Amino acid sequence: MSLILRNIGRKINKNWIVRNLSLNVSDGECLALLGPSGCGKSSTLRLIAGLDKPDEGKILINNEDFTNVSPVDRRIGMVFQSYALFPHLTVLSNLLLGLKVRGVNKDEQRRRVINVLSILQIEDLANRLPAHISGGQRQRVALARALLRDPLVYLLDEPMSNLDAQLREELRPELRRIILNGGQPVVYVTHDQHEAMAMADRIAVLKDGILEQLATPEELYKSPASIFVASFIGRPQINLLTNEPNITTAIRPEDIYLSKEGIESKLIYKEWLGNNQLLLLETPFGKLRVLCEANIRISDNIKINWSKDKEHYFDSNSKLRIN
Amino acid sequence: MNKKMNIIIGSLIIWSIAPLAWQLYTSFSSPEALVEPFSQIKNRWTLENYIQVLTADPPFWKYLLNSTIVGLTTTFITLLFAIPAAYSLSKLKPIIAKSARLILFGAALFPYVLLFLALLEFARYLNIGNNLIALSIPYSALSMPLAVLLLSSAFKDIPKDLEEAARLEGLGIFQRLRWILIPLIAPATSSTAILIFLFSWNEYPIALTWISKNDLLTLPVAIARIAGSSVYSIPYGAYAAATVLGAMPLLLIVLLFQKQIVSGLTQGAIKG
Amino acid sequence: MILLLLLPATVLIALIFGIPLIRYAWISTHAFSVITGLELVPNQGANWLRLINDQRFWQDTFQTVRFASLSVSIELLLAICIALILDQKWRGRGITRAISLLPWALPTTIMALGWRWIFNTPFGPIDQIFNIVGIESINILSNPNITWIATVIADVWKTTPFIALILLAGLQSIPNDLYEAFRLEGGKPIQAFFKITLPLLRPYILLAVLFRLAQAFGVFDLIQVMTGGGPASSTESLALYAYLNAMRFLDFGYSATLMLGSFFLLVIACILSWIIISRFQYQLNEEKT
Repeated sequence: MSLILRNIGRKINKNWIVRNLSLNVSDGECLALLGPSGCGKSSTLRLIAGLDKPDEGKILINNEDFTNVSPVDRRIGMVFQSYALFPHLTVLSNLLLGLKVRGVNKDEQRRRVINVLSILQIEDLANRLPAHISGGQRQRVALARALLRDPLVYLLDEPMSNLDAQLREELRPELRRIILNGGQPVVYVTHDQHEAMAMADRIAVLKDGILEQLATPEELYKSPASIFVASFIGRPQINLLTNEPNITTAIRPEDIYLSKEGIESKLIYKEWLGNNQLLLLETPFGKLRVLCEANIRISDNIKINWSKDKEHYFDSNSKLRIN
Repeated sequence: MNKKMNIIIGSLIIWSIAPLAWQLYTSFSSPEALVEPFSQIKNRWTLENYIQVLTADPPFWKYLLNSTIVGLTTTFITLLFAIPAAYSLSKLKPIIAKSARLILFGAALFPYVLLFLALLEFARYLNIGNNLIALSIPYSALSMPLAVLLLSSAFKDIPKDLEEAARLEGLGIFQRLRWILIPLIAPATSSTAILIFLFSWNEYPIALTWISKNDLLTLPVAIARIAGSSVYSIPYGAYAAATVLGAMPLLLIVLLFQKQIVSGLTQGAIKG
Repeated sequence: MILLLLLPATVLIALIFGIPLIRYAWISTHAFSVITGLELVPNQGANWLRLINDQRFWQDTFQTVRFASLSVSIELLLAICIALILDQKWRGRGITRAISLLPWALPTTIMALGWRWIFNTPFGPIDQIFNIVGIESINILSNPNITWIATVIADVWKTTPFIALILLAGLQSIPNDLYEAFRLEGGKPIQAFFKITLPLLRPYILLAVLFRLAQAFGVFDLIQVMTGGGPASSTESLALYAYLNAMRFLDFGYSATLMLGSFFLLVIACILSWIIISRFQYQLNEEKT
């Protein structure tokens, strides 16, 4: 029982925006689709929802072929980036509309709406219009609507991107708890790696419509499969060294340390980050980013070092990981 | 500067109102006052003109009623056809939609008076002259292009997410129209409806040729019939009273629905 | 499914707009009048030949073009002024807008007769005022050289608000930043009008002119009721001539020919004005560089 994408692809005007993508999301698992804008993550979500038709490949839900099922009948619980609440209906009517047209009987409608309102603690908003509630409240209503859909799969498209940073961090654990509660597969689209790591069990990193790596957050960080993933995951960005022919060596700023013995370097720029500081150094290997503790005083000429086993190696031509 | 502005605005208002005010003045003038509009005479004022118009056969309110019937059926039929068409147009591929819009725009521009002969043949062939409801068929068709253009741009303004959310909620196409889309374009629908109503209320050449029975005449034709006689025998007093009565409903519509009329006209301009 | 929704409206439009034009094309190649006993008799383009040699047709074309071009230009100039005024913020703007809309909303026939009375000699107010001021009375509605100007005045009165509203929408679509930036560059208000307002207003002007030109070209209600085409056919429009041919002379074949002919002329007029207004923009751009 799960969501399976088998070699799906979609093209617009002869350009593939999603290509040969295979994913497998099991029940109760949250999979994040992560990548820069235009990487095909939202397009993939729309294919799963049935809002667009794939040009190739198959979509299976619980081993049933859903590729050609209309979104009207697909039983998808989706939270849109804009929340897409119907602006002319009250919160209550927004929630009831779907149940009504799907022919759920009156008592059942009442029972389920009351239940969902209390799960999300939005009972007080029932008679308000979407325009008259806050962004965080709108997100809850959108989530409530998705829960009431009684879905086979949950899809969340950047559900937090319209909220401010503090609220986002507060909401993550609760959102994760609520959507995984029903035990359905969850696909979560985001461009924010922190959010992806916090929310997802596994992350699929996409670039130009192609899957770069599918792994747990820890694996992505520890053994990125390509230069792209290495640079995309982890902040500050990983350092890339190209002093050997055909091999790109990568070392994370947090794996470099200051030492008495080591590589001579010159401080160009320094950025204070609170609990630590980011240094930009001129070295024989080129410019390197280094993360060190905030309370260390940095002189203009310092020596740095790192241990060999923290290095990542990539083929400079194929951009893929070696070993 | 401000004074200059006031003068300009003042003359604008006078320019718009003066001809109407003159009608009002004429409508209360006795036959003696009619030929001496600026002289001091006794018996200047009279209600005789209004009495004459309201007690004529058929009484004047009958024409108002006829125009209202045609106006309402036209508005209803046009919206009934235009709303689905506008939705469909807003979903078509951009290239096709663009050429469809161009055709509609051309049709909206078309001076429809040039169609009257063929439409008259049409009415005779089907034997539907002298029928107010039938009259609203050509009226609906003539207001259709503008209505479809206005409504389809309103549909296009609805965020795509909303309709997609409704689809995922399990709403079929008619349910989406009924519960989501039509309620959301209500402001555009009301301004379109008023423009259609005004058009059919004011239409002249087709009503002139389709309707010959006295008690089925629409207001513009009934009023123009007075002009059918020679210049000197036109009962101007009674005529002015008729125009004042005929203008009342429109005065009301303009005052009540000013916003919708303006937005209808300007939306047409912006999106056209 | 989606296309199915388009069908009823398309059928209705095709029925009322398309079929008549095809029917006219058919009738116009036939003799079709009381003389033929209302039967269609092919006449090898005699109608079209008659049209080309018809003095009255060309006279009416001239009069229609004269009416349309003068009234549309006056309306455009007045409408720009009105739109500029309505674009400002001042008390009573809403009610002024409603009042200026009134002439547009009233049926043409109502005011056509009203104007006939206003221009009446000697009882109308215009002639009376002339008398009081001491100007010799001119018989406005029976002087073939003057009457058409009276019809232009009536048309300007009725349709200026319509153009003003369209232009107002255009004015309101121009972001205020542009004017502020221009002022900071040291531009004067008059320059701003010619360098910013007018070029950006061009699509709206084009729309209004096309719309009005087409309507004025088909002018019928106003002329039929206000002057009946007289005096001496001096205000007769193409549409009225076609109407008279059908309804008074009962020559449907020629009437259809006239209407198709008018239609072709209108298309040419629209294309011409499109080109003129587009060129106007081009010149403005040239000037800037």
